[in-house]
Amino acid sequence: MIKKEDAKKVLLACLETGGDFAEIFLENTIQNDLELSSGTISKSNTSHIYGAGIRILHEDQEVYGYTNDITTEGLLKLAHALSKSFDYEKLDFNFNLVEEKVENNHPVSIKATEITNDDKVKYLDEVYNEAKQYHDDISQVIATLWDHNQQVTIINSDGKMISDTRSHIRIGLRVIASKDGVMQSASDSIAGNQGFELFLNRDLKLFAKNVAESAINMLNAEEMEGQMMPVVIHNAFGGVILHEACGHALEATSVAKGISVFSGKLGEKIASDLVTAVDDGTISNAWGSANIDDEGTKTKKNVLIENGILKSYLVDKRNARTMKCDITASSRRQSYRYSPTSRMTNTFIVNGKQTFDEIIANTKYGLFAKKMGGGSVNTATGEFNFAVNEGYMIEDGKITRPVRGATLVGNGAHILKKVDMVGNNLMRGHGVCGSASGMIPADVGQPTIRVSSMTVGGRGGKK
Amino acid sequence: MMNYELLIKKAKEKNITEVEIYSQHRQGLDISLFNGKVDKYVMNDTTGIAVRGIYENQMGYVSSENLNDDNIDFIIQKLKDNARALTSKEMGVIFEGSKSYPEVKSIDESFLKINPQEKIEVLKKLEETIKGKDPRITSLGHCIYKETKIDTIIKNSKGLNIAKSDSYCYIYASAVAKDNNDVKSYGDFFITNDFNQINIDEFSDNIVNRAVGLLNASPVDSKKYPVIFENKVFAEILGAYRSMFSGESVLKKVTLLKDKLGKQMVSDKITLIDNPISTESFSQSAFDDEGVGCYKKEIISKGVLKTFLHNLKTAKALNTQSTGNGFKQNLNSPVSVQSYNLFVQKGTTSPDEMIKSVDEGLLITGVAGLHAGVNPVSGDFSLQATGYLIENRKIMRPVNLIVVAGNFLDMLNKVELIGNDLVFTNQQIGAPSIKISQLQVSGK
Repeated sequence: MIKKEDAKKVLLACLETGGDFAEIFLENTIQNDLELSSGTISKSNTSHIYGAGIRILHEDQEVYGYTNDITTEGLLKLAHALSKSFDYEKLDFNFNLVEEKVENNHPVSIKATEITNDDKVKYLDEVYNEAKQYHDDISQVIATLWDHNQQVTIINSDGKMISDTRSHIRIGLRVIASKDGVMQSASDSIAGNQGFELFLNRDLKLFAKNVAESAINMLNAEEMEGQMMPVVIHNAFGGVILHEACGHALEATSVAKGISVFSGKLGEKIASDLVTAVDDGTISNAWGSANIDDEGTKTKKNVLIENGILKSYLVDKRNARTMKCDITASSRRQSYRYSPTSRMTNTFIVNGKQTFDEIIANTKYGLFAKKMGGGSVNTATGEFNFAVNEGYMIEDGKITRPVRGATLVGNGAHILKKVDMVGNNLMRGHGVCGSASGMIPADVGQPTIRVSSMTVGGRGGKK
Repeated sequence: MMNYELLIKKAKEKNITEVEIYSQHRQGLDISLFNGKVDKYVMNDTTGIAVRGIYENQMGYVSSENLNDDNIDFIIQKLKDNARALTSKEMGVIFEGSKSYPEVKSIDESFLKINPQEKIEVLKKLEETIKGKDPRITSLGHCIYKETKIDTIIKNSKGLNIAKSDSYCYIYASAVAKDNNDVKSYGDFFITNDFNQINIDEFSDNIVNRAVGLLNASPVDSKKYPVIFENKVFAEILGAYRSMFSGESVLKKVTLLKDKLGKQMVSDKITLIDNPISTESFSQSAFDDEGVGCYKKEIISKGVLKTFLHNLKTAKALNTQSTGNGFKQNLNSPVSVQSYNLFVQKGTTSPDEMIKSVDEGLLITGVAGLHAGVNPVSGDFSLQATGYLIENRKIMRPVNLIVVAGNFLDMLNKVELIGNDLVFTNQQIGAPSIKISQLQVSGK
């Protein structure tokens, strides 16, 4: 770890040409990857991510550089090279670096560094075997275990010096079912910012059985017939709709530039009265949580939408300067290779009043999107798409036949206004979100909700 | 800087029978402009190594960016731990090198020496040009210049010691168009080794026409239509299905093409080629990341499946030869099987002639959600799309919020016309425009 006086030297070198803020981000991460497929361990890999990123701001302008030469000389060289991009009058800087202690809200009992490959393989075997034996039509099962122990130190010209450790772990399961030349796959994951006790506290067999069941159901499903219809989106990963259709457009990255569909809409109604949504990076041991964000600010719970009214954006230090508002401790990055910016953490719609059964019973005809896949959104236009990984038709208030290949498309500015039922069964699912500052762990979530009308795509046609 | 000879020596002492170091030095510059001001300016200079070695008959992998000699023991220990965990029957191979390597055109790196200020000026001119072309263009979502230089060395205990260098730069811009209450955006890139080939006016014209052209788009009725995929769009879809042609997918039983070698799988109009030394792409490679020489091969020849792509490991497991496609996705990942300049051979029809062949159909100029809406295992896709409605052989109006759906192999069976406009994406996937006789479209 760099000495205080050396860090100060580097920061001052950054500020030679009139920069008004400088920051060093140091990272030392060990990441392990295990994969079990066709009954054998087919991948076991370790990556050591090691380097530093330096950022200099002048008002709303930013320059960033990264290197893995983290000696004081290496950092000074980078600082000098970066400072050449500015040519302003040098400001008087007087700061003392004070080491802050992080309050750990995400305890780890069984550390990734203390567990052997043999122990990890036992978890993979358990989910693999359970899924494989579920049905004769299951042709392949791929189980993966990823752990990511990230140590970061953030030092800046406000005098901040703070370190934190994140322990991301995830078991991923993908089950492929095939019959008569048709293949269908289903997948799910268990993940957290936690130690390996996470897997001891979960029913891994039930988890594996559910994924296998989903693959078999889709193997025997009809192709979705494209049409406009009400859609009931189930809890947990169904929250991807909020994440994609709305969350990304609330990130300061696009709001500050005025290019988001939600730019300038604070206090306005952007969703139905039934929708209250939060982004909460503090939930203990959750996948998208951390003690501090990647600018070193203690994470917090941000209410984004309250009873349909837009309450807050997600704002980082630099964009706060343009937007003239407070930061929301939402600044994140994949690694030292990325300049940090506003991102989501754990984002979800909070519980409403209706039960799952009531929502289904009150839907005469529609699609029940039980498991959502990924999706994407154009933040300028608000247009989005989501894949439905496991779908069923709702007919006369009952879930009837399975359907596959459905895609939901729509516009983020309108979709949340069409939410006409919100359930009371909130759950979160685990995603990896890719955007300006790289791929980061993020939870999505919601109770079961109903959207009164949506375009559902599919290749099943009228016969 | 780490002493690689010392690492090899120490590994041998610890009973690692063969060992290989893959070192990658990357330098880059990344500039974004927004409203005339530099919004993002990122410089980087990093070196990392990936070490793999055979221990107890398995190939262990470790990568590290800590290149101090005192990290060597950690690397060797992890390599052994990882090798010991493996139970896979397919074993990796450390290769002594091919007898000869193809010539590739020498890389023009002159753009690396151009002053950054000049690159910023190009972006400013690009932004002004795009904004100046139509009053409905309100802003640019992106206006980016990016350059990368990568120097790779592969050195192993079998005496292989080879090096290669690659570099390229690109511009990417996306324009936001507004009209009354409607907002549309369109983005495009231009990638090259030669900075002087950047033609701002032509590049801007296309982006502006597309962004403005999509304004006031609406869905079409749900039914089957003949569909023309524009070249870049088809290349994107092909890219999402590239794993179908990988020897790894054959071993994992996750490709519909397993056991289909020599069989007519798609329309005889389709020839699919992987050519790492193609001069039509912006990047060439004389050898893959295992040191195997690269060459051109037809994966599908007139509709018949001729070969899968292989690295040393999949080739050995399937009793065939490596096709020189053992590439790493990134430094941290093991050598997998990757295409390198994968493309559909071009035909003779011009894009205009293609439009004139349609009575009622769609020209698709953009798809979204490829990571979610495409299933490379089943071949099924269901994609949000934008484009234009063609009626009576003419483009009538813009179309958005529709879903085109089908199955990739089934679609390749319904190919009616192949364009003469082959283009490569920045993912090194190429395609001409392609007309499909019929696809299911969901809209209104």
